[in-house]
Amino acid sequence: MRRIVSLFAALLLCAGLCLPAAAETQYPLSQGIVTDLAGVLSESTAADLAALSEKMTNASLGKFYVVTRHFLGGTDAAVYARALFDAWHLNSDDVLLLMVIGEETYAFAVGTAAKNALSADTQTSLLASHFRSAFLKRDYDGAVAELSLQTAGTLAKAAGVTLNTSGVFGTAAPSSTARPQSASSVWQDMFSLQDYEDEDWPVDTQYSSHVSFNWRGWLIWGLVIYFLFFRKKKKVYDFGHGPKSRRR
Amino acid sequence: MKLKTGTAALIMVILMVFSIGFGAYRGWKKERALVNETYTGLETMLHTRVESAYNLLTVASRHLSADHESIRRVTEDRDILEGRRGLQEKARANERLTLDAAELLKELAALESVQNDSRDRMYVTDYLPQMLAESESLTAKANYNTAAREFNASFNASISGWIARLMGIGPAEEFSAQ
Repeated sequence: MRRIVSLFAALLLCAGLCLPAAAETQYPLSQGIVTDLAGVLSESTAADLAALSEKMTNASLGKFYVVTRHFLGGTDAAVYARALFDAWHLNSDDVLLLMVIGEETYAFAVGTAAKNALSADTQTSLLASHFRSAFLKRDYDGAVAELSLQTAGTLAKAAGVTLNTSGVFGTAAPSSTARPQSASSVWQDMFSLQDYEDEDWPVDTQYSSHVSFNWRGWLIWGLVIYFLFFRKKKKVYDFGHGPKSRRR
Repeated sequence: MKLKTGTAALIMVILMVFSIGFGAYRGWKKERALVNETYTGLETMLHTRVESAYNLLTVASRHLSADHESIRRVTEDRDILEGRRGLQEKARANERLTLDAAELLKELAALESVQNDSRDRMYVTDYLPQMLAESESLTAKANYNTAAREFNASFNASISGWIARLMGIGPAEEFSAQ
């Protein structure tokens, strides 16, 4: 028993000694949606990010935080982003993007609720296709604009809500809307939903105005209408034996 | 029960010696603990030196090969400062880092690739030298150095310090290359 107590006391002592060391790491204070410590983002980008986050909040989504730093002094970007997310006590549906300018690295930190929509693969895909190229070309405003809109769109689609992004990051911003979650694959085939990225739609257009028919849809609808209205009814022949079989 | 005068005197002397020894031990142990408390501050300052070295090496790796002599030296200094070496060895590495980093920055500034890159040119000519200088200044001003020096001066010069030394308390290790 005494040994157990001694071991427990030793463990407590070790934990006590480790605590000050862990508390040493200092993180910058949050300056709101954008904490641009490297000073690489324009004022308009910061304003647009704040506007986007407000729209996301209004749509019951989390916020999109952006942090820039010149260097991390040997700390891994993903580890730092995660630690910053925790240190700032961000919500579980929030997303934090860390850009390390001097190290040419970046990382996402995503809350537990937002992870349902932004899995590790989705995050990698978003960063690779909507961020990396512009970031490495040092178009930091462009990189943040595209990634934040795509991320917001992904979160909105997953949550099944409509996110109106009009007026954010200029007019080229796509509108992120919810796809019908209950539609079967047959209906989806009939009413093919085009990818918003490929279309130059007005940013605030709603989903219902973007339903388009493909040739299969036309064919199936044509057959349905034909069978309902134009199909000739089969003649029923009576041969004179017994009562008429045809009901009227 | 009657106590002989000699025995009583002996007990008194033993008690006196014990109380002096115990007092010296407790007093110097407390002083030493105060010095140790400032060590955390020195570690934090040394961490800024390590971070500066990492940042410098990040920029340097974009323009020079990994086996370049200056890069190798800065890496070595950084590893010593980051590792679990003695304070004296760390102090030497800290001094060497100032010289090695300056040499590496000079070499980088002379490179055409750095001159053609506005971002890295800013890092090499402004940002990193400033960071290195600040971290060096902070480390030099760390309270631990002063506290350890003052502790050792009075510890070595007093009888109670000599007694405490007999009871197992040693001088504080100074953060000095000498």
